[in-house]
Amino acid sequence: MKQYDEKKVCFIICTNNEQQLQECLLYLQLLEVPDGFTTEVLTIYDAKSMTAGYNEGMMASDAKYKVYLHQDTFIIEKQFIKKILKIFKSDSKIGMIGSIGAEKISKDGVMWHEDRCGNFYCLEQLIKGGFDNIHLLKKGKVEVQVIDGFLMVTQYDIPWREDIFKGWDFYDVSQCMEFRRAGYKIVVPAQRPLWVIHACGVPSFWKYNQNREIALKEYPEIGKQNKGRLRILFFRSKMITLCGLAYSLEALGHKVTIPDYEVMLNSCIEEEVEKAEEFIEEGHFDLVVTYDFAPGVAQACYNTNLKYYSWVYDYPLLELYMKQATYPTNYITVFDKKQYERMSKEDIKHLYYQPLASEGEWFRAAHISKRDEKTYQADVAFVGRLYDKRGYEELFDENSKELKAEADKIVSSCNCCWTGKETVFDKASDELIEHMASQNDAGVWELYHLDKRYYCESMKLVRKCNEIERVTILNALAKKHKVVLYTDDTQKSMLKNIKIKPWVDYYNIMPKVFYLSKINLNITSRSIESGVPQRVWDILSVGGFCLTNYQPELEDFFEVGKDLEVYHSLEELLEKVDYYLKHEDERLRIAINGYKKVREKHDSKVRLNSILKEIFSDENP
Amino acid sequence: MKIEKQYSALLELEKEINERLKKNDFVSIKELILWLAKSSDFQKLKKKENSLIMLDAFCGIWLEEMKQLPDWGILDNIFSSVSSLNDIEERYQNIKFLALRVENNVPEEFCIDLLDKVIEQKISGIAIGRIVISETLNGVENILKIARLLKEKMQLITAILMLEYTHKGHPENDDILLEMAGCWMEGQQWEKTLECLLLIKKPDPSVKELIQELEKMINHETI
Repeated sequence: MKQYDEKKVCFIICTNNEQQLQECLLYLQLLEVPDGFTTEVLTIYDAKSMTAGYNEGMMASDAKYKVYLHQDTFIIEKQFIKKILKIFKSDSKIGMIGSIGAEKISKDGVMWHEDRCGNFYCLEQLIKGGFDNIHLLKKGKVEVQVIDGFLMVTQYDIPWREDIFKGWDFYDVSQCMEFRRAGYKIVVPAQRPLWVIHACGVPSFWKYNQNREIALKEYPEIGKQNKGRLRILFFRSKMITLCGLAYSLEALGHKVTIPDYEVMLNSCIEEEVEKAEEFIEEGHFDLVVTYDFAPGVAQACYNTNLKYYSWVYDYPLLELYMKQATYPTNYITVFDKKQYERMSKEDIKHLYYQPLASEGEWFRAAHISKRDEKTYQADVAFVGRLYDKRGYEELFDENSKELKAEADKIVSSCNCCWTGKETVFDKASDELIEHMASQNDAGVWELYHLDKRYYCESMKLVRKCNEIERVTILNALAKKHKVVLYTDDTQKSMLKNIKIKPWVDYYNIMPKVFYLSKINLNITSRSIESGVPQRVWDILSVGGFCLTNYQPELEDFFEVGKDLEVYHSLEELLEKVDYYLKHEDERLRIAINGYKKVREKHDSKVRLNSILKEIFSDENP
Repeated sequence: MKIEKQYSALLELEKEINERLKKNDFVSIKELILWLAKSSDFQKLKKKENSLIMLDAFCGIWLEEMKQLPDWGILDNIFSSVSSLNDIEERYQNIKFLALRVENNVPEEFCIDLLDKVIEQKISGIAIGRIVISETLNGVENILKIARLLKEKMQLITAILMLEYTHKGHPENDDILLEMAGCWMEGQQWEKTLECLLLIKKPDPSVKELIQELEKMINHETI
């Protein structure tokens, strides 16, 4: 039985860099040694592995207290020895102390894939810059499952697993598991002032994954915990500012990573596929998620055999007609039943109908100030594009007047009526379609495998119809009421007596607009044939009163007249605006009902839960 | 790029770089920098591997040195007597560790030890300034402490270059100007001293007095 010197502290360092070692030793030299205590330093050269080196040092010393540290770790706290002794003496069950640790190790074994605590050099500065993966411990100590290997302090000897860990990774996770299996606790104390500087620069991961797999095999309890907690990679894009899905997924208990990288939504370039693959490889994710469909991401997921969920909230979405949309790793939800019917004919293996929802907690009209009231109050407001300058007029010239006349007739045919029967689709002659299609670059047909008719109708005719209807509605309303339009670059000359304001920030300002406007209009794009667009969910989720054109699917979710109001024609719209501006109580009652309905039953968490069950069902292994 | 590919790309890169570093004259270093700019592997990996991070920093330093050092009559540059990535690492770490020693109140004799190495390696003030600022929490304070140590060793040009570099990034910091003035004064360069002092935004009475004395001295000398 080995006899330990209870008044001795041994520093054990595996080294292959004399410069770093000397620096490390300098700081050790400067430590204050408590009365009655001695210290020794063992440096191991040419160790076959970290575990082998540490075992050699451990066996060679009779010190009760052992400090295993990297050669690039400098202990700057002169009272370090006194502090660790105090912690060990406070509880004999504490077997190990570290500087940074994770209370719960991630199910993939990677320490920084779950939140950590402790302190390290420059952490406070990083936190100010938005870094939130390490919680700065200000006092006391926290029990953790695993600590980072740059500093590991023990008061008991347990052999390092040099039998299975033959490299320079995962020795720390392994030793923590060994200590825990032996019944010991591992803690990370508050370190203010800072205890150590780990001057490692960027870490290397060249053999990391091999050792990770060994660790998961040897310690299956790592993979078993947090089993239901998915590791999700959420990619943002330049085109879509929404992030509610990511936060909803976190709220459902999953670990979501949002890298500092934006994907393209309308192309699949090699560079992006490579970048996405890098993120995927590093993170050992269960799922990748985006708003709408990112072909580059789909390609990366296919290449790495990882499930990819695309929450489609735009329509039409041409990217769904790209080759990448057909990959079996994709799971795509669309929110319009008619769109679902159309897309079902395409070769998309996992296509689902799922209505949109409110963006959750992060989209709410919090903190309305007096200034906000002045700025955003309105009788009638519409937040949306007018679809002008979309190239409709440029499709036709002197030689195609007849075709233009045909097109004009089609786009006017809906005539601000919404009974569920009006449509712009399947009305154009083949000649008109051919003419419109010929105006496009041939590359469009190579990139998107879609029907020319559908493309021309939804990208040209629908947009012109939208423009006509929105301008007509707004101008009609503005004759009698104060109307505010929040829009992007638009031809102001088309609009009469309308206050035009710039496009608003989605999360910070739009909720205020919806909350403070007495009536919020929704005028659904004609490309959305039956579904409920995002705007309706957004208005209701902040307690705004929503007056929307009729859409067939509305009644699947709402009671008209109770949760929101609906118009089927321009005349009905004008009547209802008149009415609800005069009947404030009723209007507010409807707004409150709509708010409650959406919050209770139509939050994005509800939708996500449902689709995740589908994605990870036994039918989709 | 997947990790396995990254690793093999890195090994190839390091081999090529070490080969190129065997020559460190102006033309060779210029060619190296151009080659690195065109190398897609280097561009992808330069933030992922310490040896490349340090090399990248050295290239930036060299470009800055080529603009300024000739005016001082200094022929050595950051790549002088460097013939491998290991050499770069050694020099880089000397500066970084010096800054950390200074920042963490390591006894002065140890700081001077390391400073002597840095001086012996003829590392410019530009290099020290850049690495200290990028690698430490209290960059400016560390620079000021190192400047004082350099001044004591009469390494005035190194100190001034370091302070000038730091001042560009922190123009609002009067302490840097004060320290620079101190260095010029130590070198008996009165006009340069005065130039620095006049840039101080909030001069205290002693600085104002010094400005007046210098102005008198300079005018007297001119006459």
